[in-house]
Amino acid sequence: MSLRRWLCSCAIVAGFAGVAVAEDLNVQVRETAVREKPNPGAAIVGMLNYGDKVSVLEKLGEGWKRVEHKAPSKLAGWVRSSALTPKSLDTTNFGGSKSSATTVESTEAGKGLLEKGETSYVNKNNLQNAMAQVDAIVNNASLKASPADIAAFLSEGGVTPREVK
Amino acid sequence: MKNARTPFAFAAAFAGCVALIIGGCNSDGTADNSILKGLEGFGDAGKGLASGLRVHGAFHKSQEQFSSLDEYHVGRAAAAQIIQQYGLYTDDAANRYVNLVGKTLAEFSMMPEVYSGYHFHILNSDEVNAFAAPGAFIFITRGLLRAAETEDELAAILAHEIGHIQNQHALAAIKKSRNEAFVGVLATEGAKTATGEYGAQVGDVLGGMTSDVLATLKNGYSREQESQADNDGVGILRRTGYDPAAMVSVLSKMEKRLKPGSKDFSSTHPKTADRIASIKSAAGGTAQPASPPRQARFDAALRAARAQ
Repeated sequence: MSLRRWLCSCAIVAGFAGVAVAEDLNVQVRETAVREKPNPGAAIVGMLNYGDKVSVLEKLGEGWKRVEHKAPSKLAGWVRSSALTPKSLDTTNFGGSKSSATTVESTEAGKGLLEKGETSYVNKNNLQNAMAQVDAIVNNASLKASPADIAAFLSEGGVTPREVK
Repeated sequence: MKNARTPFAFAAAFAGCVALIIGGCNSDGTADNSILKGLEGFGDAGKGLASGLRVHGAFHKSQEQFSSLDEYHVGRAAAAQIIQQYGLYTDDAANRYVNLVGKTLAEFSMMPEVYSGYHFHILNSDEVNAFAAPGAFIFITRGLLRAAETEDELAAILAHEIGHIQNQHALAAIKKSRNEAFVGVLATEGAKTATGEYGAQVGDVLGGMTSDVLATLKNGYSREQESQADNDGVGILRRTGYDPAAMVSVLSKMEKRLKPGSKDFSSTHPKTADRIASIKSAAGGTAQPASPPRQARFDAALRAARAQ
């Protein structure tokens, strides 16, 4: 019996026995805030980045998960569920400078293969100016909105969110 | 059935396939390469089976390996094409206001965080239209801004577009047609070529996916997807604290601005009366009067953008 099948069998037995098995997930956004409480306005205790691996400690509905970073820091707190994925995001050699030809399949997976095609696509379609405008949108500080900006915007406009149960 | 060898080839290929199912499938549903190559030795039928199994395997692999970062780059390419065609409306105050409304709504969606965050921008076009590209790049034309007369109605339009994002509707168009090419360039064969050539190969895959997205944005989502975006948009409005009935009122105002036969919202969306009928019970019938502070900031931020 292979190790994979053995582990799988153990997981099934553990499931039937009602033993809690920790769920491991990966951060799939550029960066996400880890908060003290499951609330967008709660204090930030640290940040996690794309590819960081976490263990799920607790869930609150569909929207929030309390996680612990699988790293020596063991940073723990609440993050938005949509920032996490079960997909493997192998960020070994992230940035591409160190990736070797023979290991491309394992290193490209999850790292964003299509990023490597952007220059070619832009040149082929004469989109240099338009792509510069995309970058301007992404980087324009005046178009960003912090949780504090959003809270103030809601308050000033008299917009009162409904409590999500 | 071209020759007498075919029945034997088919039987042999079938046997090979059974062997593959029993022992040659990897844990992710893909087939071992050695077995696929073996199948190809059994003539046309074997090649056909090997090809089918590769596509099946490619589907599993692409689902597993297409990341949020890939989605973001398809979105960037689609956004660049939209900007190239329509041009941006570069009024920072107006765009900041649209971003504040949109990002506030996104906080109350089922997908509040995406790879690079939500990005909203006004297009300098009289066409009545809006686009939600992968990676949460959302564009709204000046023509459509004119249909919204209150902040709640603007919020309704943006909430509908966020509905498309949270259901990954544009991404669904890609998944159907480009899986094989994506997995193909992930394979080691691609990496053996020169960097420039490899970049061009990946660029072609990106181009194919972007083309799928743009075709969907241009020709319209399915009736079911539009209905889902309407309904989810109503839910986002309600949770955020905006008037859900604004979805009904802005749909009516949009219809009055549509020109029959034009390439705008009317060509890509189901009939307004049908859309209103399907959301009316959830949204409520009568829009609330505009809130004075909201109306003041709406007018101040968008007066120039909404001017004819």
